[in-house]
Amino acid sequence: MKCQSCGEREANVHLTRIINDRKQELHLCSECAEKTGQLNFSGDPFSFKQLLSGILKPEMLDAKTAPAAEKACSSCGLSYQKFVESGLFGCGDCYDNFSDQVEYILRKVQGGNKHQGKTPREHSEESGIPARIAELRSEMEEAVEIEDFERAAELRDQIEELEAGWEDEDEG
Amino acid sequence: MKGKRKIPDRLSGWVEAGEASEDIIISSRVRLARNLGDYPFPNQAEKEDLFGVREEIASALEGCNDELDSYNMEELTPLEKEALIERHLISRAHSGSSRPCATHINSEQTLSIMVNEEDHLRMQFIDAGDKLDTLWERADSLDDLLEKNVDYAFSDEIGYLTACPTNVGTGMRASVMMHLPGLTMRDSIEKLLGGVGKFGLTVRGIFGEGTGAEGSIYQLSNQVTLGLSEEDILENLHSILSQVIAEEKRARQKLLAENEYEIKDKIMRAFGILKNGYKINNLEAVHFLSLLLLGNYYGLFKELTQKKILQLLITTRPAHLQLFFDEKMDPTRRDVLRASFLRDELAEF
Repeated sequence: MKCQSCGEREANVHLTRIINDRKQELHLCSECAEKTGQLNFSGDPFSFKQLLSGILKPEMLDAKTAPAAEKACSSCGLSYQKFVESGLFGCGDCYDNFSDQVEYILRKVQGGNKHQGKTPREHSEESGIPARIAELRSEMEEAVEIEDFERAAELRDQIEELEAGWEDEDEG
Repeated sequence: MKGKRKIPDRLSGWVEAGEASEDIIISSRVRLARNLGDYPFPNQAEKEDLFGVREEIASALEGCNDELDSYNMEELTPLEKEALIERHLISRAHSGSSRPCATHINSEQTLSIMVNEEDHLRMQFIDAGDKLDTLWERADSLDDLLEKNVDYAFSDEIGYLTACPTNVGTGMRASVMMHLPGLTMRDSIEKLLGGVGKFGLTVRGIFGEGTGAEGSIYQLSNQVTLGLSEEDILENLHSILSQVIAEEKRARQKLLAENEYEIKDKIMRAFGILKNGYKINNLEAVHFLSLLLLGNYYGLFKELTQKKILQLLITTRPAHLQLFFDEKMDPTRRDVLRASFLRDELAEF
């Protein structure tokens, strides 16, 4: 079947529209179908990126997650609008500057929101301490919960020690 | 055109030499995405930044154990870039990019590093059969080496930062290329496609347009990159993979048990067309070569090896044909020369 619009190419898109109870069928080639503006065939319409852009449009987000219209990354200048169009962040700082949206996206597209994989070796030497502190802190909270105050006090001291050392290092 | 060609004439090591691929898992790949912390990501960076990234990565790679051929992408002809795509060494986006991009490839063509594609750094290891674990080890150690010389964009909370949030975390995409004619012919592919999503994995066709899967060749890869360790991701892939392999084997046996003459006839007709045809288009070649792979599995050929068929799957693609005949051709002439090429290549079998 030839395309009903250009009459040249094979029709490979079959649209059925129901408007006011009237059924209308259209048989178009993908190029003409795209011109109708209802479908996007350039590239794969169901590619991950296209779908991602779809869920990130400000009107799709709730009030808490939707960014202010003029919101842009203070480091690289990428606007939220541009991010939605391309599905790409502009720099590492975008993850901080759009943190509300990042959280939403990661919830939608990833399995979790905490990195569990490898860490650059140098990085882990520097940043192992905050992670360790967080770990001890949650252990301490557990100890308090089960009213093991002796253990909790022990943990508190360890945390204070680590924090003191970490701050010293930070200043130096 | 000849002589001045920059990319190697020979194919990747995994398809040229070495042990045969497994029957169902043709090849495996592990790719890591990384960015340098001091520069905006490629989509938002100025040209000078990207030149800086390109230089910084080139010098960081100097200590690498593999001997690398390095190309600034503007030095390659469109045909050479297309051939690298056909060898699965670079992406189409990388080939078409107007940014200052570079590609580093080892002499075996089992490692390719794309610079300034979507991320500053995309390193990809590829090998025959299921080698995901060793590929990850190799990727891990190259990554260790590079991080000594460059500062990665990394966050404790969400791991390696990438331009697209679908890669953030491990930045790792592990994939296997699978040949699934049994499941395809028995119409079981849809079930597979539906099932793997639940495990954070995704399947897509390799050849053909859009979502088509000409030649029953599919790629299974992880979709999720955050919240799981690299090892967990590989384990997930493996556990699904072993089930897919078992199902595919069962399907191939059933095909033979229930329709022996139909299936053998189908394969040998494909062989006849490839050996004798005068005009064969790209998708036909993929379709018929895929049937030869199945024939090889059933032991229908004495001399024709799986490696040979896999090589033909690459050498009959448009850019490879044009490089081989050293001529730019329109699709019609290509189909004629593809058939002539196949007649020659298959004459001895």
